[in-house]
Amino acid sequence: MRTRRLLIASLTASALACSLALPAHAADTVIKVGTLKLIHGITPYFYDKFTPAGYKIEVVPFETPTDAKNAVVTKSVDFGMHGLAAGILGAAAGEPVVVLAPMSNGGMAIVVGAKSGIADFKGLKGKRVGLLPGSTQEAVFLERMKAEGMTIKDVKSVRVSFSEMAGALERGDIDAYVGAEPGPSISVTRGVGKVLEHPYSTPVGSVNMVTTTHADTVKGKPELVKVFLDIHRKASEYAMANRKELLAMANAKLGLPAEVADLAADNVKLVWKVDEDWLQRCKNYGSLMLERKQIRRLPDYGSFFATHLGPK
Amino acid sequence: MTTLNAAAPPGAAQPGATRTPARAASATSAAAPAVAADPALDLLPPAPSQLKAWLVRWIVPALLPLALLLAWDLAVRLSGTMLVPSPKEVAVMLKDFTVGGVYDDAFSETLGTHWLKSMSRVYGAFALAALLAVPLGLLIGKNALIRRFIDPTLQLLRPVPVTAWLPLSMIFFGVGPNAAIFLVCLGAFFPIVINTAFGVKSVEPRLFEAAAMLGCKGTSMFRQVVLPAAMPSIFNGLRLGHGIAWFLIVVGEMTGVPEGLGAAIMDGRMLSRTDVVIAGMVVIGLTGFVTDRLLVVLNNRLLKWSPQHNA
Repeated sequence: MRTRRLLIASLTASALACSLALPAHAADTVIKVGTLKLIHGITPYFYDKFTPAGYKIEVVPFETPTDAKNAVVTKSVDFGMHGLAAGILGAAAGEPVVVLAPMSNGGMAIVVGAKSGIADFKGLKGKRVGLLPGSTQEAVFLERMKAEGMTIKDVKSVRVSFSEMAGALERGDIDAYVGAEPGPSISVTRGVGKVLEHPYSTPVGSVNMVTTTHADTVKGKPELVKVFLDIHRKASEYAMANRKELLAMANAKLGLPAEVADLAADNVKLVWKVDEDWLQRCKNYGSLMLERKQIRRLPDYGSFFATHLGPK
Repeated sequence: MTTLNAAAPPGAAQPGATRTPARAASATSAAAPAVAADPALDLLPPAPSQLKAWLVRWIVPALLPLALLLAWDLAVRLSGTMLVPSPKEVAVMLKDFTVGGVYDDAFSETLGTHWLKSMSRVYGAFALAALLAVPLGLLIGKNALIRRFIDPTLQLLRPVPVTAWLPLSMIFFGVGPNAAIFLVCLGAFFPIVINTAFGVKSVEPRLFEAAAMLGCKGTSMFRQVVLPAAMPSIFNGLRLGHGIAWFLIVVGEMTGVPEGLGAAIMDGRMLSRTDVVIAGMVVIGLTGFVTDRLLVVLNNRLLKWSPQHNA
């Protein structure tokens, strides 16, 4: 009995001693950033270079824009990088997601099978088209269809996530897809697909991914947001100015061969600056989604955009 | 058909005494002693009144779901969350999902289509799994050589989560419903085959001796002794497999399937429409519950000679 007591006492004492003996310096503030496994979601991997002392960046990759947005609204990450569509869908449903700044434009392409014989947009009629619900690509594609006098019922839409689109086209499961880089570049490089068009002719233009956070973060931690947006600006500019590094990072983080990464990077602009044109295009986006009944009401733009904290 | 009371355990009532009318198992009239299914209630001194019997039969099972609904509603109200819809919103969504007329969007009036597609996939795959698994289970249980030949492989494959087969099934069957059907079939297969084999293996050897003395041979031995004795285990396997089938249809319909309850749930998730997700869950829950009850009724009918196995 006594030995057992002695054992417990000594264990407790040593555990206490260990916890006190640990280095007492303050831990860095960890900033968790969610992004997508796409070439235009690559910026966060450059944040480390520009993170000031006292902060540490942790990047969490997601498969779909909805997942990244959900990580933001559930506070699983501090900041998220995902398509604008997912943000609008969430905000329209009353979720506390807030857009801070642009993140990347472009990165979209409508790809058709090389031997599918589809020569123009109207040729998609009756074909199996890979599409990801809740993605910016879906919203843009629906808009392009409207411009061509078609509706979604004119094609057989197949739900496929971005990373599976190139493979599905290669296997012949679909005839075309509305994809995100690097998917289109993989299809083109392998010779199984060709780009029908880059769908940037809609009122939305090439607006694609945005930087978001939880509404509470904007209110409660404006300093953190400012620090973060400054890192985001420097990293975006660096990645755009250093093509070699961008390709090396795409290879390291997404496993892309140089040839594919090179082609994909041509279709992507990493951005950070808020301007009137971008804001207007984002709002056009909401209006289009409302028109198509993807959302029941517009987000409250007053609280949905918090662009005042970023660098000018 | 005269069935030997093969699996009746020692000490069970005589065959004649246990021949209850089939209706008794599913009697619902208030006049019948409906609660007799619960042996604990038999011990209650004076016999329960009709009202009490009715309360126990219908009201008690509804209490917990109602309490959970209330808790859900309160939790949503008190937390003010926008991430989870209230039960009322889900009810409205269910109405719109079924008959339309509320939101008039991509989900309105599509429940019938989704439900039929999922039902046909789940039960097609489940039937296929049962067709393959029951005979195989009977073989494994009956024949030691076959058991040695197949069982190790089966036990190797069994721990692999069926969801891990998803990438492979897409390669085998392409993007589309066939991959989902394969997953459901595979998931339901294991519990059925393992339970069936177990049921056959555990038949008391004395029963074979007794049946042989009564002149039972070969195939009739199988039909009149092995099959009835293994039936409870086979049904257990079927019920487990059936539950897993509904679980897997959602996984199977995640990619490249335009219609089906799993597809609707995934679309709802992608479009931040949690009301659609929960509405789909409710429909799957109710469908699974009803079909499980049907399996139980079938089980009770086929095993009505056995007092032990009337669930």
